[in-house]
Amino acid sequence: MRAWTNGGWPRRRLLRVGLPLGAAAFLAACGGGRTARQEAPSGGTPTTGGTVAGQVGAVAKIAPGHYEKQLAASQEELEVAKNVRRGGTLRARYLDPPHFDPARAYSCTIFHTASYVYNRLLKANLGAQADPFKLELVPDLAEKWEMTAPDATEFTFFLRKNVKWQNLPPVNGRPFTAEDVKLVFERYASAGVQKDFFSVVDRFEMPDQYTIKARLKEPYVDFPATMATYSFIVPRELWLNSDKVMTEAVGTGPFIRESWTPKQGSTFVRNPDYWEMGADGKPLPYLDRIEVLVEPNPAAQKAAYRAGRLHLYVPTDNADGDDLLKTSPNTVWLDLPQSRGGNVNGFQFNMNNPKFKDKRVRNAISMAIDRVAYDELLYDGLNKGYSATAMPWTFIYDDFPSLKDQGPTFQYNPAEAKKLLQAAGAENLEFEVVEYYLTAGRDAFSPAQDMLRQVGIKVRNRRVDNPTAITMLAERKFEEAINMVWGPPNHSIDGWIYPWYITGGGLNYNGVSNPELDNLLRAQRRETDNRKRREILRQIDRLLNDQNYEVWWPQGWYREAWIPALKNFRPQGFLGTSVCYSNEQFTRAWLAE
Amino acid sequence: MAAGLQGKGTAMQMYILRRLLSYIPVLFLVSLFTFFILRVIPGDALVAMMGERQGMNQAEMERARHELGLDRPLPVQYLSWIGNGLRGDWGRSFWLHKPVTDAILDTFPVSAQLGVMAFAITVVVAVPIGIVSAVRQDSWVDYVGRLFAISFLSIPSFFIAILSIVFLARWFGWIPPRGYINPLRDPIGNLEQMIIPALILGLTFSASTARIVRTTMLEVLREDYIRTARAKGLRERSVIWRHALKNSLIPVVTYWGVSLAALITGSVLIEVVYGLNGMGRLTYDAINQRDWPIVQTVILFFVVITLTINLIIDLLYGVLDPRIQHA
Repeated sequence: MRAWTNGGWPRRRLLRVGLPLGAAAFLAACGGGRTARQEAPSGGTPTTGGTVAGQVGAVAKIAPGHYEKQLAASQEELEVAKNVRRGGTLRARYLDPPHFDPARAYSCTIFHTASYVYNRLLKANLGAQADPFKLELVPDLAEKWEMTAPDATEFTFFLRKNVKWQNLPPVNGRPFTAEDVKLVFERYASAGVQKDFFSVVDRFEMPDQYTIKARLKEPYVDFPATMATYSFIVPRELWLNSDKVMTEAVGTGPFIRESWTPKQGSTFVRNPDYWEMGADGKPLPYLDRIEVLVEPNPAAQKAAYRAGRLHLYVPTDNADGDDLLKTSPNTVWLDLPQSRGGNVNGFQFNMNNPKFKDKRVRNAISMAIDRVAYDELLYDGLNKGYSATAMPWTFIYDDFPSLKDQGPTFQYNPAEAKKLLQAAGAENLEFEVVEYYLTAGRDAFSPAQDMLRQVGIKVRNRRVDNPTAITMLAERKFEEAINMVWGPPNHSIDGWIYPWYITGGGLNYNGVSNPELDNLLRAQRRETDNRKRREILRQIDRLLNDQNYEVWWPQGWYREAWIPALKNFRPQGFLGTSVCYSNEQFTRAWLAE
Repeated sequence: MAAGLQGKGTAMQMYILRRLLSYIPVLFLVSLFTFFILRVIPGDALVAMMGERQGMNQAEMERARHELGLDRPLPVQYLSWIGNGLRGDWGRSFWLHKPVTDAILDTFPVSAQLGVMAFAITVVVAVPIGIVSAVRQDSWVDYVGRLFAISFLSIPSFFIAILSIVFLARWFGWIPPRGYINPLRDPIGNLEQMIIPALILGLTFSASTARIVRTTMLEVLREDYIRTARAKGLRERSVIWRHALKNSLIPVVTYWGVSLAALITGSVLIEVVYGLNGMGRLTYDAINQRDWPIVQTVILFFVVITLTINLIIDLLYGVLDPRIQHA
């Protein structure tokens, strides 16, 4: 078993010197921590389901209030019925939503409101008792689901019968039925950002008012996980009116949107008619109210946290988090290694440009980057050089992987890089990278630029603003390379790879077309055996690492701090991505004070 | 006499009318320039609004573009915008999903209040400092006044704003309320929220104003008529306030005109740091989001405000110095 601690930052190493014995004892107490969770492969998706109990793993406590990777549920959080306290107002930050139509943008900005107001058929298990590195699907509006054809071409969802829409216009508390699901899914399948995932559906059938059957054109084992990600059930009364669906949000969810002031914030109050029961036998949610603010300035965010106007804060780096602990020592601060998340830094090559058609050139660029040095320089060495890859590591590795796991093209080898460039006739390679995101406000480009210069590659960066970068990606209008790789996170592993790498895929921004890869991508969609499927995913990972259609470098960890009174909350969203994709867990969170 | 006054009044009215008519070509040129320059800069308004468009096929994008009227030729879009605008409809914000005029009406009071408060602070702080610095030139009072001016000129206001937020939170566990509190509903809450940003803005503008007041006062204090006033035995206070100050105010008032226009049309950074939804933030976000209807209209609004304030300043010149005739 790989040690469940991390090296890197010298001060942290010092802190850890005193910890091994305690950590070992704690691991033993937790039943072996990581190994316990390895018994079930995490690469696959459950094909049938009900509530799945989460496994609690190890805790790495590195400073008072500062944890790494996973924070086990406290005794208070384990005994919810006994300890839960109802009421209170949670104050959080969100990004200003441009609209509220989940079919028009799969963005964190919209997700915040959608997670409070709407439900999906299934959802991921989140919160204190959930394993942040393993996908566990749990019922939402579907109380259970089944793969009703053994070749993964048919799935049946059995809906809850006691659900009503919120008692507000235009739905006015009418009963929720399978017809609502069928109609909104047909909308998702015909248009909108979910299309890549719904396009496999041949038709939706409604055997009765509370059953919905999806018949697929081809096998798609990840269909339930996709439902857990993309199936926000928006009432037809809203989406049939293109203006209403952009500005209003009324669903079956735990919170009612009370107000929305663009650029300022929203307020949500508990839905008194919510259908889901809490551990205390009363309807959820436990919180009375959620206030979310638009607060773009990090210094103001931190000040607002200190002044009690926000209950959550994202430290920009370790020094920032340490500073927060000085004035708010009871803060709970958790660091999570990021999966490939929304915005990843690296070089994404335009595969239609002749400069990058030769694999040796792409490999040389990758091998010219000293990822360990890069990681030390920018991210406290937390990754030990391990770099983001196409798919979240959680699906294919048992543990946070090492740089070695990524194969020869990820190892720093400038001599070999020069040889490859020479062999490809690209000794004087020059290219331009369109750059938008700078991870955590740092210059993530310059160190890579300097490293490439050492092997004779000249890289120019062209900085553009967000709309320009998004337009260039959307219209595939970058000439040579782009550094930002935006993509919607997903509970389904297929969602991270299929639309990105299949020839002509909706997210295949850089024009990748590789028949071997296409075959593997289709094969993983068909494979119902989780272990076999995981092996296919590993093959895809190896192939992508070898091909270097993108050259990734290490990423910053995701940090989130919150007040200790907030219980049953953990910031992990989509397997290590940010809380903005996981705030439906506030349905079961509570404020102890 | 009465006829003379009437003639003067008519001449003044004609002057104001001419100035108001001069708005038309200025606004036309600005509208044209703004409209087309926004279309030239890269970035698609629709994509920016959608956040991303993966999964949306070309037909859907085109449909959305059509809904927003973005598929028409640019001259048609321009004429439609101006034509509707003259009828009071300046379009709908892509991002805010409401009429542009509503967005301006929502944000202008915030910036205007902040601007007026900051301006009042500027007048109250800068004029006495400038006068005392000039009258007591090279004394310790002058050095303190100059130090104040140099400090607030050199330190950017957004930096002071961030420091103020950080230290208020760190030392007092308090920051001003976020969002905008209507002063008619909660005057105390509104004051709590506005006083610190207004102070910061006001002090920043005071610094430059104090320097201008000092310089012009020093010039005026060396004029012959001041020496004459003193030789006549007038009290020093009367010399300073009645003779020197009034005559030194023309450059100051010119500068105030520019400052006031800038203040009430919004201070982006102060508004962002203090979470105030004013005109500055509205414009800044609209540019970032390629929300063209907002940017175009807000810029025209800024132009109208700037022209109007300049007109008022020009009229004030006549009050301050009767030798200046507008006819």
